[in-house]
Amino acid sequence: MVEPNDDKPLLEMRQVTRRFGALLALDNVSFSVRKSEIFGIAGPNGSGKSTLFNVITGIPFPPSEGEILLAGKPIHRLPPHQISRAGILRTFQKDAEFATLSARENVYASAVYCGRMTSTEAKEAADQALDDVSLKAERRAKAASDLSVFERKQLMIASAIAGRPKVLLLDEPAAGLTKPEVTGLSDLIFTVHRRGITVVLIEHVLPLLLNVSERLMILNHGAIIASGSPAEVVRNPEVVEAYLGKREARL
Amino acid sequence: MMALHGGKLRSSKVWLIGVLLIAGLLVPIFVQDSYLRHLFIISFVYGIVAASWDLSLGYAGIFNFAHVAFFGVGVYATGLTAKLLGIDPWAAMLIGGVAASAAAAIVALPVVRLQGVYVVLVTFAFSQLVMQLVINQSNLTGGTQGMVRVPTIWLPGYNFLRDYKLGYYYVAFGLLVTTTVCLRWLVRSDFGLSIKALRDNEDYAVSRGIPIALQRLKALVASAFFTGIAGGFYVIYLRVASPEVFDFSTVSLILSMVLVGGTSSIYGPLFAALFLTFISEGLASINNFAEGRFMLVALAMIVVLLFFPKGLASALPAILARNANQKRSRQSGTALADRALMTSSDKENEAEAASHSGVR
Repeated sequence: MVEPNDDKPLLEMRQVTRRFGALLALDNVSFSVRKSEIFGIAGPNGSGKSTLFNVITGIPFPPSEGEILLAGKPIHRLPPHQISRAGILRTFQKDAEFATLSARENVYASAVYCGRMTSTEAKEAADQALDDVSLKAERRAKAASDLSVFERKQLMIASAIAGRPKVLLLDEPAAGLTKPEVTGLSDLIFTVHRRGITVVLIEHVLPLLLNVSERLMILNHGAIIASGSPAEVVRNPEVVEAYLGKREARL
Repeated sequence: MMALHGGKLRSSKVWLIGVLLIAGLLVPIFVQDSYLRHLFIISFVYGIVAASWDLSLGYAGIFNFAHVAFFGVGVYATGLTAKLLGIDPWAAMLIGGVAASAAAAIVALPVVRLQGVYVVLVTFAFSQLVMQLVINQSNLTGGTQGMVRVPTIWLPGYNFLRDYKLGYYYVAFGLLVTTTVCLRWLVRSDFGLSIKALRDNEDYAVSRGIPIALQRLKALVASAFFTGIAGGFYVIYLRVASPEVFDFSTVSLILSMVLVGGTSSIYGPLFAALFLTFISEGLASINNFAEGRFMLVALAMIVVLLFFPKGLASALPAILARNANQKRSRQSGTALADRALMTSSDKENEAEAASHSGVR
């Protein structure tokens, strides 16, 4: 396992706010993710988790206010494809794929355009990434639209890995998966992490989140209500209240 | 097995292309009639326009309705530079391509950031704008009267005007083949992959480092370049230019070629252009049927799109696959007959096994 480097935050958010008219989707959020750590994010529905990934990647919108830095360099004013090329790659909550391209082409495109590789390098990187996510060899020539839900999730993660990420943002990767598939997913996250890739994980499936995260942050109504080690965070009364409501929390 | 099948398909495709190329080269030997040769030449020009439209419309998924206007820009840029500036008509054809690309770059500025119906509106408005410009500048362009006596291409010791269009035929055929090779190369390149990716899922493509505005700009500029050169050749060949090239009827004719042929194939629109040109001209020569042909072409389009929504280009692989399936099922039919001879207890055992595997 790669040792976390505590001194340097790799990804840093400084007072980031995102407004939609009167709605405050992210309210003055500041946190940092260290190099080579697995950083978990949880929170009730509508707490601003996905919005956080949206403003970090600029897809489809940047923050209204605040700064986002990658390895000390501001990235929040870059065009979205440049943010990806700088090393922040994300997956999406909903299925996303290039439906008419083959699985291999899906991953290859990311290696070429995001990883800035030559054609030969990109082919190797694509096969390596597809091996990493264990997508069966005989399925790789299929059009992405012909793959199963789980295979499409594997594909989305493979295409992110092939883009040479420094930080991988996973947005609810376990949604809709069976228990054995979730176990496979946590193995996959550890594999990615061993490669030296920093992982930020949004997840509703708590066993997965608690199993893989080194640090955990909880959002509610667009603001951070707790952060720290997973064990500390789950005992935090505010967190319990946010998840269960006030009355149940008192009980 | 699959690779073998793919290999066979590819080699039969190479054969087909080779045969068509030779056929294309031999046509003028068998076709001496200058009107028929003219139809071939016009169909080649439409083939270039339709196939290059497929790059922006089919592959990049940009609802670009300015493509025929880019053709018109090519027509007038070549016509004006050859006639008024006295530039060599060969070079003027190239200028037609460059001018069309420049027009595409101007259209791209607003279009790369828009989506769907707004792209249609902007590109359509651009077409109207160019047409009005051509009509208004009548002292240069001849306005609605058109521009006449445009100088034509030449070669040392050869007169294009006195050989029953033989020279023009080969120039048009050469342009068509060159365009097709370039377009096929483009769509199979990494660039082609990136524009298909953007068409399939914009946000996802950007998240994988594909620059949306730049790739769309490139797709529009490249597709306009070929259509601009085709426009240049068109005016050099006909030696007249008229604002009719911007008409909606021209747009709908070429659009029907693209759709009937099938988007995202290059070959589909190309062959549809060849067939539709001959059919529509053939019907026009029937007495009192000059207008009825448009109805027939429209009807053909509806019928084709009803049965092959992805165009005729999608029909060939579908038919090949169906034949392969029938062959397979004939083979497995023999296997079925063998299985009918199994004892009933064998069948029960198998049924049990099947139900277990279903649970698993």
